[in-house]
Amino acid sequence: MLQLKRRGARVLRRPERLWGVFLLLALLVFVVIPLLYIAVGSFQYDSWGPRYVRGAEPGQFTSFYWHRVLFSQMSSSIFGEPFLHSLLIASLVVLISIPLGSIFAWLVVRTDLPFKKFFSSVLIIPYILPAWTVGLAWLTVFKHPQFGGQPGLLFGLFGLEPPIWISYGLLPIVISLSVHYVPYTFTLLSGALATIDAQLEESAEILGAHRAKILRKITFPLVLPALGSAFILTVGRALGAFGAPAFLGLPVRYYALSTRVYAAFSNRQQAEGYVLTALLILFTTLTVLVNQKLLGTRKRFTTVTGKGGKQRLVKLGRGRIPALLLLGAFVGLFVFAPMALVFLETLLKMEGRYAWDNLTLHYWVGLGVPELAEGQPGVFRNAVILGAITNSVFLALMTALVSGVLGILLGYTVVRNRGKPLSRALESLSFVPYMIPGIAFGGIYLSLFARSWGPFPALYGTMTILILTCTMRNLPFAAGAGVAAMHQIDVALEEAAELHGARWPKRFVRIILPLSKSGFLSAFILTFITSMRALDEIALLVTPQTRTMTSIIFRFQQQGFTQHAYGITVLIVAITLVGNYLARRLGGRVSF
Amino acid sequence: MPNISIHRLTKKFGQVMAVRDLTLEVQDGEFVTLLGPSGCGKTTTLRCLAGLEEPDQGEICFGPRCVFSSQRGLNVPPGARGIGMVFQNYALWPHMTVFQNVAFGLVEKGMGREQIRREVSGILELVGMQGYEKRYPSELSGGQQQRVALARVLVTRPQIVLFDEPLSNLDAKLRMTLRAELKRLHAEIQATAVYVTHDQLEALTLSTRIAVMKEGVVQQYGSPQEVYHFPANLFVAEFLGNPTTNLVPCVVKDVGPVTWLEVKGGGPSRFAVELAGSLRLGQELILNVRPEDVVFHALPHEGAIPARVFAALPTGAECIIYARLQDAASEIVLRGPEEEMQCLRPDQPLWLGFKRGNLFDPQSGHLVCSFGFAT
Repeated sequence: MLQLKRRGARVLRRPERLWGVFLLLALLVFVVIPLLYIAVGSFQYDSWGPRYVRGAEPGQFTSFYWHRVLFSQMSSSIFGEPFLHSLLIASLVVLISIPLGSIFAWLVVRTDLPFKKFFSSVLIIPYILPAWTVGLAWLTVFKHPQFGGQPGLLFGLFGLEPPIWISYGLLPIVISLSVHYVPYTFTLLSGALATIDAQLEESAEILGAHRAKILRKITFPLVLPALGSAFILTVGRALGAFGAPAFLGLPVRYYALSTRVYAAFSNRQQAEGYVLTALLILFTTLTVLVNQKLLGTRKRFTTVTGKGGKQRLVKLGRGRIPALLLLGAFVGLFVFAPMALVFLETLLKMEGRYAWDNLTLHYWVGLGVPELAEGQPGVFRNAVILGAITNSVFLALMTALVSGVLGILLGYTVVRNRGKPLSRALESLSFVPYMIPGIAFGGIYLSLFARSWGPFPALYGTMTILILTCTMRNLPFAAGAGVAAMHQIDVALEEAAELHGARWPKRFVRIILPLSKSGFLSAFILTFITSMRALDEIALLVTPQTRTMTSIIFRFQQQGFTQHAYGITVLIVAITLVGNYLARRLGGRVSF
Repeated sequence: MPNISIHRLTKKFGQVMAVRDLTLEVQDGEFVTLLGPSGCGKTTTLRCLAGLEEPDQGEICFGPRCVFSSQRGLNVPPGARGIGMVFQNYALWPHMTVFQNVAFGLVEKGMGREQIRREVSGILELVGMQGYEKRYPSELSGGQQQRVALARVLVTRPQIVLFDEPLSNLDAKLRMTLRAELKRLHAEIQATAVYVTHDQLEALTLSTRIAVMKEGVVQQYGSPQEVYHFPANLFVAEFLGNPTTNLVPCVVKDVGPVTWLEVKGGGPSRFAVELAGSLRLGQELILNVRPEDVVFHALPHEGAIPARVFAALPTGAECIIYARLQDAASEIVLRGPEEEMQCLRPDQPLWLGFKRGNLFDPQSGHLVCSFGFAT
């Protein structure tokens, strides 16, 4: 009894353990159970079961779907081909974005390249923009009259008819994803390069090694962990990416695993969806594990630590102009031009006709006229779109807020319980959502929370489920930011307040929260941006009441309301850029 | 000003016993230092007093009031113990100004705004930090930060103040100054103080009593003079060397009105000491003599050991001499005023005698007897 009383008092005074248990439970419910749910669901007949197998009862145990996906005659079109496509996309994206990001990082951090400040702030933009922005811009240029009916810029201006493989499919998907993920490598590697102790390289130089050798023998191994993290982030996202393959692949029936999962769930073929989801998660996890094994590191957000000595900048000499051109071309062609093209598209009365008399603001402020876009009013007059804007901003703000607080709490619990199994479990579990591709996340939560379950009411059709999904999906970043922030706070700072009699809630609000402001802000801004442009994880979850800007873009794009879709994209870009700017002013920055 | 009594305190971290069955009594108004090498359990003991760690066993009472008792299931939270604590790295809240830092405890107590302002400026004046109210901790030097940390602790008028190596992050000169200020402050505020340090000089200069700790156990508890001159065992003798002490193995050769000892392995190097007690012939002992208690003669002297100067290290006012006995293996350090020592040159012969010192049993390490001290 005494023992119990003491224990209770201790837990209340130092609630990090209590929080740990609470968070662990939450992670079990929102991460582990969904995973188990997929595993179980993939072995049960769904409502389509009886159509495939005579006498099948929905809910009955079966290995039919695994067999169908992996070994049947249908296998190659359901799984084989999409899987190959996904693999191809991911490998090509890695092969393009990692070297490109590395070169950019090296140029910006270690050389005397001009306009470095400009480049380092602009090179984060591709990540802030929705991944499909480049894809949409690509379409405006190369669109094929044969699909979607309207010609693109090339055809409109020059009468050129580009081959289909240029307009749709692998090439544009890879290009838009590569551009989108360059910032991962750029940010991580810039951080690593900036913190390398200059003495390490200088001592090699004094020993007579030339620049290329130093780069290969000293610098490269030192930044290898950062490269490994960049690889994990890129491959994890590229394997499961949904937006770009949907916009650029579906019109020509070029399927990736993610679009297959989407098709299965939206056709209510859940069990098949589960099998594909399980496979998608499996491959993502395997890639990450193999990478970790190869690099021998478990640190996922690693940069080289230690104080950097003063680094001398490499003089580019005659290479200055080509380097500047390379960066300039990338930024111009893949950052600014797409934004401009997408915006230009919204001003065209008729697609593909590039003439002054064809310019209009109708799609922004016009009232609906029957002959244009089936009478859809302009973006700012359109009740559906305005509702979606409200929803999106609400979703992004709430998710960012919840993620920020959750990240700090997780960081607090992980750091304060350091060394205990609880801390390790929390840290690894909070990384698990990274292995679950967004579209799969949506699929699982759709099945899990469609009906009321345990203490949870039916959440389908509410904003809550969208917030929940986006929060869990961004958990790895939020937790990472929280742990990093909490490492900076000495325990004594909290103990000093405790000695003055401040209870835990007060300590948290007065001491912990203000001191972890930067961690909170970086979790906040990153989640705000990703939720603002989230499509993958919510594509399956939105209903007419909870439509977001992204889901409307997706629908309008499929229905051929191009200008509206592009207009909303422009708005998303504007909102995220402003959000990023505000967060930077407050002292937060996007970091992975 | 309550006294502190710690009774049979035990604290384990996993398998490691940080504090073992520790019993200690601190009189009211005392300044007691817990002294020992890192990992000896001194900080853990302090944190148990503060309530930041929960002991496994034992009892802690402040005056008549028990704040922890494993038997009674009692554990008063830190904020309710009426103590203040100064941390090694000051633990000032970086997002609050000096004023906000100091006022925190008063706000927590629910004091009125006007009174808080008065109290804070009063205490800042006491620690010599008036005029810095609006600064942030990062805009202060290390010494100033520690003064603010002190103010933050003292402003709530705690009856017990705990110090966790508060001066160890400061440079040597500043440490001296703050040591003097701390001693002065302790006299003014009249609180019972427990101070943790590994710096023996700090312990000797500040404390009314010192508890020397090793591996979670108090080795000796006494006044600075007692601990310094009559160490209870070899560990205490060695730890309180200033900067080092002489520990020489020797053997009893003759017992009589004067006792003759011979340095072990030192050839015919006998010396005489005047002992109150009696020793067995042939008994092995370890001689402990402080460097300042070694006397030297430039010419052969009755009862002194022949040696040779190995190196002479003048430190300004003093000179430290490393001398080697004839076998060249045993080394004796002596220390004295520079003007007496400056004649000594390397390899010069000299004869060493011991004014006063202690003899320890080599097996148990315990003190056997002392000699040469005025009684």
